[in-house]
Amino acid sequence: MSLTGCLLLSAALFAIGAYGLMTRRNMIAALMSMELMVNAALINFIAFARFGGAQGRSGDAEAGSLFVLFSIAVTAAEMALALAIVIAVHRQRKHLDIRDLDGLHG
Amino acid sequence: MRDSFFYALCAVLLGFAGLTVLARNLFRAALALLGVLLCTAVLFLLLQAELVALAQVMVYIGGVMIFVLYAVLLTSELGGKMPSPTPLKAAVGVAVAAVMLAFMADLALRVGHGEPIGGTREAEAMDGDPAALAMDKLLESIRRPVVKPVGDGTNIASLKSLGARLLDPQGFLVPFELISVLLLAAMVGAIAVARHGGAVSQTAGGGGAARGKGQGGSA
Repeated sequence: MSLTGCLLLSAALFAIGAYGLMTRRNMIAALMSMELMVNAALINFIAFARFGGAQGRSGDAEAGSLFVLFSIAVTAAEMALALAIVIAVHRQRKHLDIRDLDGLHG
Repeated sequence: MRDSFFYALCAVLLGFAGLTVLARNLFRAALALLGVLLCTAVLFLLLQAELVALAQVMVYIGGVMIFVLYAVLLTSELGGKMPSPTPLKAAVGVAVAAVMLAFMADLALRVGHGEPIGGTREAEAMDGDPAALAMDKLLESIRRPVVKPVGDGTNIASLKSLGARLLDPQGFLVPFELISVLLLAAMVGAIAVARHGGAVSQTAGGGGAARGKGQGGSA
């Protein structure tokens, strides 16, 4: 368990999430892929806080934890809004295909 | 022992992540995402960030994931299968993901070996610039821990120091207050969006149906 291991894990998680975001057509599935990418970022925060950054700088454990806590709060707010939109869209259109949601397209 | 546990955890986490992205059934994908979040919480525990692990379990798994599961159950039938992506799109997705992975893995390896990533040249250029120096001083004041961790030398945030840092005006008090406003705004917005959309579709679809029925009855 090292900084490199955590960073590689987070990179792999981010890449998987990016693949999902590009291939999924269902709105909820795309949101879940985005959650994967957010999680990868959070892992990076904690890894740097625990092991320190480059050039032997020691990490700031408290700042790392607090940044992640704030990110979790922001993500909760974002997901609440996004899922409200999902439900509203489903009520109006009866499907959640991203390709057909071009109501704001000029 | 600990290393092998870490690698096993990584394997399980990436497996769940792959299932989240590839599963054809939406409900199964949501359950796999739950596994990913749980594994991440265990990883946080392993990295000695207990409070974050707790918040991950309570907020993500207890709050967000329940909400996602509700949305899945409300909007799609349980046994339904989503169409798999076309080969072209899957290929493009794999290519983009691979390029991202290559760049980030390169960065990760360089950081892991202690190489400086940028930074040095900027530090040299910063010498003469008063604005940059002021910014650096500001960042330094934010960075300064207010309460020293209990066991020094180890890089672990105790709950006490976390709380002091969170409510310290020099620390994270302002974002802490702002995030409460943001959460309130998001809550109100979510209710407004979900209710408003429902009201519109009901008056558009339900009202029309009722009127049609009424006419049919009178005729």
